[in-house]
Amino acid sequence: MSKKNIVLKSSNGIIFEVEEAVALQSETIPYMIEDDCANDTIPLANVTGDILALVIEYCKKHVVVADGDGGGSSSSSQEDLKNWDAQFMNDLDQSKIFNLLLAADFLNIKTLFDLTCQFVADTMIKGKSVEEVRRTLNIEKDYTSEEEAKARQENEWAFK
Amino acid sequence: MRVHQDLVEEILERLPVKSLHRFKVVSKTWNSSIESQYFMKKHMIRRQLQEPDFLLVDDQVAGERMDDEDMTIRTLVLGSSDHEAELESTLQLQFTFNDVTRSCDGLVCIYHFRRSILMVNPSTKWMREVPLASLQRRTFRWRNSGDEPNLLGFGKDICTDTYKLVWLYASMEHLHTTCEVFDFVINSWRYVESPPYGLIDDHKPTYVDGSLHWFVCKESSEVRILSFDCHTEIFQEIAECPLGDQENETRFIMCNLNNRLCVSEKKWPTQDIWTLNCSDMMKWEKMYSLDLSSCPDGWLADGEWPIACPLAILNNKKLLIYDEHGPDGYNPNFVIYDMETRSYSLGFAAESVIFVTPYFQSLISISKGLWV
Repeated sequence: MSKKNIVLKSSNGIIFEVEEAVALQSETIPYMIEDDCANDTIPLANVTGDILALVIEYCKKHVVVADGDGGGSSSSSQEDLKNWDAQFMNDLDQSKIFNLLLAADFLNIKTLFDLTCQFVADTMIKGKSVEEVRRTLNIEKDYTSEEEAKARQENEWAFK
Repeated sequence: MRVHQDLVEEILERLPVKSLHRFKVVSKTWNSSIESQYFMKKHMIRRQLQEPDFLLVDDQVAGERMDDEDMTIRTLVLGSSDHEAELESTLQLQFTFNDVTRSCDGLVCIYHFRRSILMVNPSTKWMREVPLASLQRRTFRWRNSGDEPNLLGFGKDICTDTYKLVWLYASMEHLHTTCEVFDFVINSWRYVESPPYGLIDDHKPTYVDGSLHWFVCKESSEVRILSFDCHTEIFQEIAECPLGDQENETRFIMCNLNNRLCVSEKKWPTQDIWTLNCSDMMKWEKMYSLDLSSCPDGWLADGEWPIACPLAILNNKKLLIYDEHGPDGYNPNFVIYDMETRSYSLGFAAESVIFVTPYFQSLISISKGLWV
């Protein structure tokens, strides 16, 4: 079977040409191809070039492994992939991580979405204080001081 | 950077219960997300896709005997192969108990044969007292026979998402049973028709996918399995239990591995584990056959002692076994059997434990009248 390429265009106009199998890890792109069959380029209005480059890097890595040993189920390749994923996430700063999360959600790439959600939960939220979490996610405190004191008291054991 | 609440919930789903309780303080929006039934259920389902933790129930703290009324619940987290086992203190209670049910959806039932029943979610510290069953009120039974009643079962009607306590026990009449079911919605016990069988003592009912299961027998000594559908409330015998006869009830055990009903039998030096394949004509398949004699000395009890309980399958390739006796009868061990290399490793050596159950922490509680 001959390999078909798909052209993706980021919100800031950067063009990426990728193999179909790489792009089809996104469950959103097939719909865009159908909707837009006259045009060869698929515009992604919600994803900037730097983030799209990361998404493609992730998808390329994952498609190679799935091809590599007929299903990608051997435990060593699974292990390698896990390590690669961890390194991939560790190299990103906070703003990139959140933008990657939004892109994975928009493009509906389940494994990347799971990876970023879990990474955010484990490294940016889990062990943090209430104040740190508010700052990280830019959340306004909507409790009055009395209400907050009461909520803290009710969940006191969870602060120990 | 602002993240939409739908995405925030996706992230929160991946947090442990304790963190979620702390983050109820972040904002009102977070609080109502975390307290919603929808979120609690999604969180629970995600947790159940991971590997279980284990609840260790005891009446001692760090080897020191406490007052008769004290109990302590700890959580054992085995983690992945490259992590050390971690044991954390989860809950301490003043409660006199005889037994604890196996966990379903992060809840357990702690009870005393005559005096009391308590539902507990150890992760959230939620508790609800349950009224006594008729069985517990009829104290003359114990004075006359000296027997302890059969053990209580806890499960879920998966069609309506409602929880039930099911107490199946021997009637006065030979080879007959009585069954009482506690309905949390109406907060009371009622009788449910149960078939004539003899019950095999000291085996905990096992919950799998909407049904509870007991070892039973008829006139012959052959071991049979009776199941109870928590939705229809109908009992049914499961065909062709692969176990032999009930001569020695300490040599076989029932358990739930990967949400499938399993039975295991110890015939020194072998321990076999069968699983019920519900999709293939309800056939029993042999999953594993362990050579116990190849396990290093001192981890698993020998042929003289009762069977060790298979607790969980880890990483799809390791079987976790809990031996409540250990080599000398008093040192409970968690032993990991690697199915690929057929070798054993010691997962955790517990100093003192009365009871262990696999457990997925959850936010679930059972209020009167509603699901949650």
